[in-house]
Amino acid sequence: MSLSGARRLFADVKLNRVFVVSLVLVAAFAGWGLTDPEGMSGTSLGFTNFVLTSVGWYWLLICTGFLLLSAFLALGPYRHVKLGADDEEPEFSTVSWIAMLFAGGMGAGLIFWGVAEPLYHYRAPPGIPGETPEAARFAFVLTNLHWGLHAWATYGVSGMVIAYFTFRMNRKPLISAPIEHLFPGVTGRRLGEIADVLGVFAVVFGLAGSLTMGTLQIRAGLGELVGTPRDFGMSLLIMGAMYATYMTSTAVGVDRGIKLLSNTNMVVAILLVVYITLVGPTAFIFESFVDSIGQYFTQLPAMAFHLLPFENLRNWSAEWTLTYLIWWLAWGPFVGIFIARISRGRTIREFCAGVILVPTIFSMFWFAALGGAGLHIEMFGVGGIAELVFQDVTRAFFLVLNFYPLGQLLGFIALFLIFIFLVTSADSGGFVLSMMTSGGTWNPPLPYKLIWGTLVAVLTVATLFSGSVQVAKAMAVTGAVPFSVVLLLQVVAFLRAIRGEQIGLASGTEDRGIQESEDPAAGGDAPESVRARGDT
Amino acid sequence: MKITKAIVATLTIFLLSGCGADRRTLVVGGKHSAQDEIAAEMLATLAEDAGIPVTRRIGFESTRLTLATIQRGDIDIYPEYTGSGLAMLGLSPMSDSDPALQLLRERFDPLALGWSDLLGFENDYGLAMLRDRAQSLDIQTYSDLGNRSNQLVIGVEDEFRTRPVDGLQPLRRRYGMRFDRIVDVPLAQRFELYEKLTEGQTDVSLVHTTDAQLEELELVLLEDDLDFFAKYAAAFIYRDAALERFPALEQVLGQLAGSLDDEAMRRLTDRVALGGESPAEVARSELIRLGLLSGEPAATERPKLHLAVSPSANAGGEAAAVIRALRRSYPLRNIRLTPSSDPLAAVQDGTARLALVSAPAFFAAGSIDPAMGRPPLRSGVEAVALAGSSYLHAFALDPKLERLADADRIATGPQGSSSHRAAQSIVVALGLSAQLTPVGAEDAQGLANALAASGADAAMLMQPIGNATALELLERGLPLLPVTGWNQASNRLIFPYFQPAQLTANDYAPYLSGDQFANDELPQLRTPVETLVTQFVLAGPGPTPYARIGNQGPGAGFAPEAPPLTDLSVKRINAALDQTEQINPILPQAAALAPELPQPPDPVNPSPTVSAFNALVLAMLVWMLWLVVRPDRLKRPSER
Repeated sequence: MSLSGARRLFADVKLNRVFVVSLVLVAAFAGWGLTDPEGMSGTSLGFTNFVLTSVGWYWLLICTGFLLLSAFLALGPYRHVKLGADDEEPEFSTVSWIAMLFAGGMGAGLIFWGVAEPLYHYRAPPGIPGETPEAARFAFVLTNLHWGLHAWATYGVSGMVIAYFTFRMNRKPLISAPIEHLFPGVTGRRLGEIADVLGVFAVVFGLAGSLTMGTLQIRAGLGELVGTPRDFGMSLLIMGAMYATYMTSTAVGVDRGIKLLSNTNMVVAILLVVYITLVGPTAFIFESFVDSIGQYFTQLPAMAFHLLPFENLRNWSAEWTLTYLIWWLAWGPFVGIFIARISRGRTIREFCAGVILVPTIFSMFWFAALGGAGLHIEMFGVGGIAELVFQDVTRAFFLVLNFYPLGQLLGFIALFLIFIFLVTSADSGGFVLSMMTSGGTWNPPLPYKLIWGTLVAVLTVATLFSGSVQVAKAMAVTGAVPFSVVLLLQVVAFLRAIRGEQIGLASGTEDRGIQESEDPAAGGDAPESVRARGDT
Repeated sequence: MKITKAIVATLTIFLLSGCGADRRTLVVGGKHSAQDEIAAEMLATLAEDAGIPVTRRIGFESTRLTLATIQRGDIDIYPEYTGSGLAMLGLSPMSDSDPALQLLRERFDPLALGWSDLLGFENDYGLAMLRDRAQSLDIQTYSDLGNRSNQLVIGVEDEFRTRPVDGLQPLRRRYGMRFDRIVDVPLAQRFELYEKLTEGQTDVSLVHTTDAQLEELELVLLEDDLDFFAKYAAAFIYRDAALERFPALEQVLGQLAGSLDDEAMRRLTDRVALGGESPAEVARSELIRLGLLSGEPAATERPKLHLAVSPSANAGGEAAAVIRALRRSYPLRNIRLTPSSDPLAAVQDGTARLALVSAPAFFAAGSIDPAMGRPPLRSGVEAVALAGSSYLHAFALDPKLERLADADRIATGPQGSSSHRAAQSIVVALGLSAQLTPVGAEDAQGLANALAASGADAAMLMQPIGNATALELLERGLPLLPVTGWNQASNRLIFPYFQPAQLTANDYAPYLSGDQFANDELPQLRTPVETLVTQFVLAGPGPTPYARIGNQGPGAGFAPEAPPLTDLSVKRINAALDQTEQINPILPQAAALAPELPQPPDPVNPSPTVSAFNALVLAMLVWMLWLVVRPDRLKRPSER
């Protein structure tokens, strides 16, 4: 590309404050991590450690709060409110919508932990003796607690707030929009900018950290399957392939790129799980599934507040339950905006059912199938896998697949799934970053995507080069701590806005359209000044 | 015990005869022993493949019982050995298999029983001892054993004890053996013979020559110098009626004839007896490998757990004790020895789960960490259990050398090995001027040769007493150099894992033959030698820092380093190893081993910082709540 061509291409890039500040901050933090990996990971993980162990109750409480809130929204007075104009139709078919939700939100961890997590809890459950039938039952409850409603409710709430403000109140699809709504005036604008920067920060590092770990996973998997070397060159090769794929997908746009990837991913995942179910202990898997539904939903009220202060196992809570919750929060900003992007035109009830219930049921079946297959071998077959989980999760996973006919092929399919999961995450993440830094345009210009996609790739490669997984982990989850405050503020703004809208409707202005609903005269509490600023 | 066995035997016959009358299936039998089970399963599987309906009745307690059962017609076919066949007829053993088979066919013909062609492997009886034990007692042949037998304990399977022609009593009479005590185990629990042998409960054990443990424990097979035992070549005994009923059986037997040699059977037995796989699956996969059966072998191999050891470790000594402890602690894992010149490095890079090393292996020798005032610890490993003690053996390769300080070059084990690391520390500690020359080898004997041929004037080994390399060098008459003056210059603080000790003739007595001991063949130890001792421990991966955030999550799922052993495993291994001494506190050790200090009662508030932070978070939540419920004020009227 010639210089003038490049100049023309990047002519669209406006140097707004959020863009510049986040670039500087990202560069500074990344520079710290690369020059002093030990210090950076030590400090940020130490910080996160402190926050996780000292206020464990806060994390569990807010995520359970999101779950209760979504239940209230789905069943309460606002259930028929549409995320969009009242006469709008959904943009994506329901199947594609759910496939994209799932591929965007879950990610690569689901593959390996599908086998490993139930086995892990079966062998070493907190507070009860391991390797018993009770432990097996409890293992599924814990696994579903970690991957189920809490995860999706966190995403769901992040997404719903953005979707509501964007499509119903015609604000910019930015993290700052609800905050500016909540605090009118200059305070709100400054707070909004901080929130946007925090969002960008969380997304960039969440993404780079996840891509690093994902690359290492694929590398370990390939090493296990075909014996490729586990060195930096191999990581570079994998990351290169990933970069090429997600940039291509980004370039062709959400409606085609991600949709195609997600649908492929969904089909392959379903085929894999069906194969495991049918070739494996089918009845055992279905019985595990049915049993785990009952156990999960009956124990949910207690488990949703389940901490272990009396067992003196607070560290266990931090290592498992709270680690999961903080991961979901860390991914909240970009999965939320991405979910909002694809959910235009759904009612709140539809949104809650699609974003929270359906993926939860699917992941419960996923764990019943993969975990059940592993557990069956452990409890009634050759055995020895649960112990291996404590040694090497990757190896345990491939070992279980090897008990199946065409095990080698299954291994490749699993790696392919991980690859696509990562590409989809990177793709949607790049899109969200570009949008947030280009002042909230739904179709950000290509240069933004190029810049962020490349920046994330460079960060990933640098982290891979430093060879420290601790750095990757620190990067991935640290953003969640400040973002939890931002998310709470968003929720507050959302509750006020929707209450205001509904009061307005109730006071005889039902026939007024979506435009008016945010008019202060109609009873919404969005002041004039905020609305005017939304257009600048 | 005897009564129980009789009841079991009666019941077995009773059960088996229940389905004797109008039978439409081929009943395949077999004795309760890995080799027999594998052979029987191979036949059964192949017969099924040829369309013959098969019933399996595998797991008989003894040869007599099996033979009686086939004569009654309750089973149709089972694997048997030529030697046993002859013995059951009361015939003398024959050392050649083909005439034996000929004779058997003639003699069994009147019973309407036939012998198939030979399968190819021989599963002979043998007597085996631990290498050290055999060496120290100077026993190589059965006659040697006979001479010393009155102070020895022998372990046998119960059937062998009672066999009339080729059993224990005839053997004792033939060689004039007396034995202090005889320990027997049921045929089905034959593997216990090996445990008893390594535990020292027995001195010599009856073995089958295709047993996998012979190789694993590096046992010495004694020589049957008077040719007492017959050849035990495997074949199938079948009822002629069965062959008439199922003509396809003829072809199946033809396919199996000559298909398994000793090596193949040893490999398959290894998978069953040590790997814990089921005989049926092992048989199936072998048939597929031989091309006799089509299909994919199912994965039945149990996940392996590798124990890295120095190539010169004694397989029958500490390593055997540790392996036995691991088998008890991990009943579902396939425990394997992995030789490695730096066993701890194998744990660090994940190729082995555990390693058996001397304490110096935990330290990066050659430098002193100024903060700690001793060599820096290697990261990512911790001691899990104590296995014994390692002694420094400093040999003078140059006979003129009298003091270690005069040595110019010292040969050690390979780079990174405990011996090399120990030597590095000792050179620094004692202010020696010698250069180190690391040499490597595949096994203990090779290492002894390499050290002797290194051209250095001294050699250092850090190994438990009785290590085969050290023993070899001692027997070559190389003088042991005293290591003195250790307590000078704060060495005890810098290298706290070494302690001065004495190496005495008594230490080596169990490994020396009585003659050698009596003849004073190790003059090096005539007077105790001053040297250094350190702990010999089982090590595993250590914990990673910042572990409060788990390795799970949507983007994770990958633990880059192997996590440490669970507390449960550590406790099980320690219980099985049953050592009274504790691990030196200087070594990083598993959390489960850390002494439980009396906990001071928590203060009312363990951490004011945490309280303040909690209050802050609570205040934030209250503020949020207020933001939700606060009334709209001020602005709305003014805007209207």
